[in-house]
Amino acid sequence: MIAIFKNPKFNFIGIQRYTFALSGALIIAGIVSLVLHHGPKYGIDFTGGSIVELHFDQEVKVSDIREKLSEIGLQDAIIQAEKGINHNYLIRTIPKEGVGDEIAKLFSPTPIVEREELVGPSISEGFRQKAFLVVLLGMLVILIYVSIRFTFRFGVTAVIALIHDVLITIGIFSLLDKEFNTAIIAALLTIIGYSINDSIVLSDRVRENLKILRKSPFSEIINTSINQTLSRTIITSLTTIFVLLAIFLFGGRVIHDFALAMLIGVVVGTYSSIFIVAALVVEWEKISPSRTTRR
Amino acid sequence: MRPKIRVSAIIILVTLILAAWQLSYTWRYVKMSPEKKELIPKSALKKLRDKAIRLGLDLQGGMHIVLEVDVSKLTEDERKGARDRALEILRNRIDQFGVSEPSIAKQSANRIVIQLPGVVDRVRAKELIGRTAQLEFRLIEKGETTDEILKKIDELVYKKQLGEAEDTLEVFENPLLSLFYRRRIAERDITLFNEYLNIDGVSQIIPTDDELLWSKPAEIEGERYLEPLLVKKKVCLKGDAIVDARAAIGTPKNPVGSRVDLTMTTQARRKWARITGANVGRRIAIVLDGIVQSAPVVIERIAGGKSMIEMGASPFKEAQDLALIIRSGALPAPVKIVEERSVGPSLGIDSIKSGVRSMYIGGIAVLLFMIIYYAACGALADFILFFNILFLLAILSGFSATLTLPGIAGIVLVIGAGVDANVLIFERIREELAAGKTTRAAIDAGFRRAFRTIIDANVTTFLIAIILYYFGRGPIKGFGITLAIGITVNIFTAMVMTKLVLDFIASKGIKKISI
Repeated sequence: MIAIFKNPKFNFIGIQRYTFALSGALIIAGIVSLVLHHGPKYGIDFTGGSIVELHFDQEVKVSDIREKLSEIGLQDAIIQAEKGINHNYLIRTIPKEGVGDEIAKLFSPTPIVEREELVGPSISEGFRQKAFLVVLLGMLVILIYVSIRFTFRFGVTAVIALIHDVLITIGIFSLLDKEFNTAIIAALLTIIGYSINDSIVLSDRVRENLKILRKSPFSEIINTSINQTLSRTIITSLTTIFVLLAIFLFGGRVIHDFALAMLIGVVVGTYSSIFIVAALVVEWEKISPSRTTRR
Repeated sequence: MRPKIRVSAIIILVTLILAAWQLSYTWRYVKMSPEKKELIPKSALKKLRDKAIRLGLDLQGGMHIVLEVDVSKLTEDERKGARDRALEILRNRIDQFGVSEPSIAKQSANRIVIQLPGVVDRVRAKELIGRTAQLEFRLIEKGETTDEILKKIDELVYKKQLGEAEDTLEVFENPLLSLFYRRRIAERDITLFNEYLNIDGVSQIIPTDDELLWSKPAEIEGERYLEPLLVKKKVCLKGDAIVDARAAIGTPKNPVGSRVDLTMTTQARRKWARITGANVGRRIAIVLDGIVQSAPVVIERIAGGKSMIEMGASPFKEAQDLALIIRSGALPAPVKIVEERSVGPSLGIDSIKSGVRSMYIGGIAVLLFMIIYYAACGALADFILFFNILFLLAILSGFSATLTLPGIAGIVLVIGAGVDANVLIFERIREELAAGKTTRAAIDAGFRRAFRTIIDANVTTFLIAIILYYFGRGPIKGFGITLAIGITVNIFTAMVMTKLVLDFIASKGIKKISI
């Protein structure tokens, strides 16, 4: 039998000073990056705009493209060579109908319009409002479910851990200068769904152990539970990380950033389920003991 | 224990048959050659296609457009049902456009979503969809009156320029009239022309019942020219006067030029005869969406209710599209494209290839890991994972859900997280074994204890998947539904299939399991 941990007895609660510091540092680094970048780098889903991906037959200079674009008053467009694909260029402009063909016509031979996206201001405004609300709704649903199935206290700590995961993911995305779009919001929501999984498995164990190990102090029960569920948490995270890595590396460029967000989220989520959630519960218990443990 | 095992086995068998049956439609549809698709009756093909797994626009390429019906200029009464009428008219236009599976649906109060899968002539599609097709017949101001008005404006602009200039020698006479070439104005001069028209006092020169409209651009000596026309504001006849519009070849000026023949209703015929009779020698503008399509001179009274739009040297296809637009009627209000996402077919194929590749690689990594870590039980989990995917695909096609690129990512994710339920069970069994229980007792206890955890842990992810489905746009919806189905299937296979196999092993009295 292979086992990652044979009867692990790590002291997770004892090192919370360091883990809180680490989390704090990650969150602050992300916030600093967000402030320096003037908020997240929003994609056209949230700002409105047009994106055109052109495929040329031969090498073209970005400066040449810009020159051509200025002929139709689009000199302010963002032009970017698509990595890994030969002669593909992404051009981002203000929202403009039919801009793809308009740009393509400027060149000869005419490049192929591989992809064209236009998001008008009324749509992007809707996305902006909805994105925040949807993430909030996701957390609310989890708070309610966990509060019903477990305790309100655990629901709150679990949601704090989720906010922690989402904040760090957004922060790292900002540090990597990656774009934010609706797919990334979907990734954030999925992260919420997966991260809470580990926390729930843990608290199921805590609930069970509270009955079995009545005499032990609360923090010890929590620590034992983390150790008992550790193998499962690590294995599930590992298999999930395997497949996410596969999507990230081989899934193609369209879904690349989505996979990256999920990867960051799963790693951070696993970390927070092991090191943060339980520590928060223990801290809260110290400040105001709940009835269950006084008993 | 035995009868229970039998019940589980029957449930599994039935589910398997149903899943295989459901997936056979997709299999048959994908394997069918294009020639055979032509041969079998259309209704049968449609039935098969509806039951097959559909590919999203991001995978097969195509065009996704969200239109907003601009009701701001309509009265309260007209607003009612404006979107639904627009939807019907657009459906008419698109049905004749020639795309294999177009989809047109309402979105919110005044939005319409149109999806055109496959290879689409995007420019033409937008032209067809975006046009309000408000057709009007309007009299054009007499030639001499127009000339007089233009001259007056020209003088006014000249005076104004003289007044503003520091060096009067740099101001030339006829600033406006000099822009004209064969009564037309080059496209690049139009901004300047409009600037002149916006000068104070110019609007007073133009009669209040006239307005300036532009003709369609025509190419003269390699440059595009447009004709400005002073057109009466009063509308003689509207689009509803037309019963039929057909494209044809040959115009009075150009034997190979294309044209659109218009046929009017009986009522409109009389009116048309009266109007043409009273205005012989004058020009009448046929205006579509504010652009003068054609401005023929009335030669004689037209009694038969016929009219014609001359298209000049435009390709015949354009005439056909114009005829189609006029035939399908005017939209109740102008529509604006507020969102568009077009994916070229090659990018779509790329996405499928890399999506499937990542599925193989990720899947194999998970399979190997499970076998290495849990030995025989790992192989069991792998085996069950295969059924997971089978059921997932079957249910996806049963719901006629669409497979999108994020959907493929969802499947891959289900593979990765799908072993979770089994991992929970195996870990529990290992613990119970370590505590010294017999194989049989350990399996029973493992399942019992893991069950609640599995449900709790998956319900939350399921709820999130539902949120994604409801609030996500296009491809993300596909991700949400894949995730939701995947989770349900995971729970089912772990609780029924894994249990069946382990119960069977336990009932055989095996002392030691490889876990």
